[in-house]
Amino acid sequence: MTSAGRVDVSGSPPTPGWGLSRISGQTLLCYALISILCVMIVYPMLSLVWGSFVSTAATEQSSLGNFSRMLSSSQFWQAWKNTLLVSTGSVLISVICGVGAAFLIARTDIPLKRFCEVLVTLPIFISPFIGAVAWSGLAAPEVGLLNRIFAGLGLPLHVNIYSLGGIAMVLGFYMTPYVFLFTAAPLTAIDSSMEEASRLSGQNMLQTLRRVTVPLVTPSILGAALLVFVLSMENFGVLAVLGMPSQIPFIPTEIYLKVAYPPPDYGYATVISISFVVITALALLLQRRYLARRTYISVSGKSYRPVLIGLGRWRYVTFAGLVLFVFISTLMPLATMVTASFQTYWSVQFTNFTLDNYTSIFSRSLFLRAAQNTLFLAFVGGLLACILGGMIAYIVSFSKASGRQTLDLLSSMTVGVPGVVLGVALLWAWIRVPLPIYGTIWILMIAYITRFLSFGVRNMSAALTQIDSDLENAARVSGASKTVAALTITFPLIRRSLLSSWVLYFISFVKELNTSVLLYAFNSVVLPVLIFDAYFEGKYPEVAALGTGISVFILAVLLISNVIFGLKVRQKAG
Amino acid sequence: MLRLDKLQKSFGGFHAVQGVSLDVAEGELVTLLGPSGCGKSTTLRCIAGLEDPTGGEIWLGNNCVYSGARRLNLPPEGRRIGMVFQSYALWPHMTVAENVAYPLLRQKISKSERETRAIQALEMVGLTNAKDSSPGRLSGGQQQRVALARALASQCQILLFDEPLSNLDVRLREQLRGEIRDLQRRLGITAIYVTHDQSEALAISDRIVVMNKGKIVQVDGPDALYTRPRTQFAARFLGSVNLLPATHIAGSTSDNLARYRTTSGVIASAPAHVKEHVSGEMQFGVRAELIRLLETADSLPPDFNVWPVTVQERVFLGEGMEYTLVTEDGQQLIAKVPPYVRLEPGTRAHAAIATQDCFVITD
Repeated sequence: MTSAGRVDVSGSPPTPGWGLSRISGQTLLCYALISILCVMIVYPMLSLVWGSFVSTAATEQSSLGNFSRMLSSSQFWQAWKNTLLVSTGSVLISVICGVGAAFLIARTDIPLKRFCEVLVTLPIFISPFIGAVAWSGLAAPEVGLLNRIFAGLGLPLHVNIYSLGGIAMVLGFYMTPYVFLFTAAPLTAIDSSMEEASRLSGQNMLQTLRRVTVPLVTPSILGAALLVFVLSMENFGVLAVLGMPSQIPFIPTEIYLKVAYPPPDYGYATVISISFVVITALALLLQRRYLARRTYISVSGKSYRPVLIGLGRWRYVTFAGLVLFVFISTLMPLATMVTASFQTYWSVQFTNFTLDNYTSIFSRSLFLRAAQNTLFLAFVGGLLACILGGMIAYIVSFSKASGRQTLDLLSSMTVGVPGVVLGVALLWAWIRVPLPIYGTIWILMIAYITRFLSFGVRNMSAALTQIDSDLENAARVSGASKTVAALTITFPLIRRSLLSSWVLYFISFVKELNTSVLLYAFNSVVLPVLIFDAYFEGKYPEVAALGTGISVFILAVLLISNVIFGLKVRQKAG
Repeated sequence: MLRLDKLQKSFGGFHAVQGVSLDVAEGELVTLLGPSGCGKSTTLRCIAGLEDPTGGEIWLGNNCVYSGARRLNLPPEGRRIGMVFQSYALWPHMTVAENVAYPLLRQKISKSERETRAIQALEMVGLTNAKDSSPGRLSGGQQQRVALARALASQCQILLFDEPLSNLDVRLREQLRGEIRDLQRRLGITAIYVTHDQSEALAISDRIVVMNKGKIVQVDGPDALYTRPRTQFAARFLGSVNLLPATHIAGSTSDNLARYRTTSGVIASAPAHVKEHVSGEMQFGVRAELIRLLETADSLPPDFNVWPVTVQERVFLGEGMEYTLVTEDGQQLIAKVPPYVRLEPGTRAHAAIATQDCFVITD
């Protein structure tokens, strides 16, 4: 620098800088990401709509033929009725159980709270699809373990899980943790001075709960209920495993049957898909509005423990009730599945303990191929999803790039698309493209990343919003460019969330069935599809062995990531 | 060293900075002072390159780093500045020494050289012991010292401070501002300091830039700003001030004193300045903390303005007593006097202030 204190205006020419008209690197990246998402999401969805008009069965002439065919089909209306019925049932069951458990754990002096919390959230770690497989071992007509026990005891009881009630119950049990998590958080985070003010105004604890606490958490409960409604509706795994044996039509299974079973009826599948997307998207829009209203839950910085209600001598009774509920809803079916995996065949009589199922599966080349594919997709696909999601989260919540709102919208769009619909859409999108994508493992990778992208994006965005932007600014004035500052400061700071997103993707990809079942080919078969096919071939012990194996594997991954990286992976719907 | 020329920054329709021009000499510490939202932080962030201005020019030394007309905008990493943030902005995933060494990465020097320089910078703030700790384990004051060391380590041409002390408690704040001032003087660095705390600004600055609504109100040394504020805003922002409507008495100036008639009828004198020799309404300024409150005005030396008053209310503030007084024409006068002055409400008294301490405002 010159020693002169005064600025010499006519002095040396200005250092060449960046022109103002220059598009910033972040804006360029933003548009690149938008283009990627357009190919991944917008293009398939448009092909789906297009397909619904052009692909008509041979007899049809009109381009609206598919729609009129759908609307006049009694099967279509029956499927919708069943789907809405089981989803509503699932919502009722999960809200009652989830809110009840959340209230007991958050606001009463129930013993062993931490343990109770783990128990209630346990189903989150098991794929509902595997859960449904387990339940069919427990409560299928005739061969189900419960029915065998009832018959053995000479009781005139009979349970049938292949029914609307049974399906609603299984869905409800598996959705309970979501309601629990949505409700427990605000229940514990409520500013206790709100309740104290009510007590001082002369209301007792129960009146306070009714007049102050419950209204405060109602938006959270409604938000959770709508989410559960959508998750139940699109849960192809459960609906297929428990609905198809007794031929109860549901919307996702109808779509699957029309595509996967000859003669395929793509046109019909596409129109049902469109009706499906419309309903799920509407429900999710409603849910967002409820969650937006949640802002009046004030989380005060002060860590006052909320006042706990004394249960008195009911303390241990309540605890026992909670344990019993988890036993019936989660542990009993899983134990049945594990038992079945060590049986030669699953019928009215028990056979000797055997490891044959495991040994025969693991030596089969089909299994090895599926395992290899699944691991490749989960590991590499998960990493790609993590990188893509990380960039999207950064641009959306940390940059000033123009177009970031569009990017945000696109990346959250997939949440409203049920897996089966995405599968049909991708089928339409890539079947005619002369690239080695359709019928290969790459279409599965595209499907998985598209389907789960937004979960990780939300995860990483949440971590990014915790970061003071001055941390990056400090790096900029210290001489780092935008890219260097992001790579040396911001991303290292959210590394835990990046890792946990990767684990989240990994596990979601391992469990993925909804799109796989429509998009796999001989060489690109994956483990969940293997289980699915074996289930419908009636090889229950083998299915049980596969289900046990995959569940143990997922739990192991979670445990390892928890122990080694200290990660707390909150699994999203799968 | 730094020159702002008609700097502008608007956010949509909101004009945060409206034509700010300023010259800062080398080695000077200039404070931008004003209420929140006055544009002081935005101005600083424009200098740093963290905000893109919408017009004007910024010169650092002989380099133009921003020019609206020439479509020139150097990114922050190209400006060679050091900055201390209000939130400290230390990187929690690096040690103290790594934090301090980070700005040296842009210089092509060896790792050991970087370490030596980082230690040197830490020495200046007295924190060499903490070099291997994580910044999160340090106290707020120590963290801000590390941030200062980081800014110094880069051997920048100008240091920017964005309300660096407002997250600290009062005593620490006073201690650290002394240290900042000492270091800045010793190293002869040019510094721009943003604060909303008037006493901090008065204590630390060579010059103070008072800002309001995106514009500069007054630029002066601390002393001049205190004794000769030129606008009501500047007067009221520094300390508590009584403004009494007054008119200039024509032809009354003598011994550098001008005489004014206040509405209570008292003829008061203030140091004369050419500019105020205008007719019409003006405000006669009396600082609350410079008023003497007396029961009789007999023992006062001649160069005092005296108002007969009635005590209306008094509030005990610990370090002093705040009186609300009423002049004969019903004007309220606030006086902050030492706590040993005890007058009951309703008492008649005299408020006296040295003519040298009075000022006149014409806006």
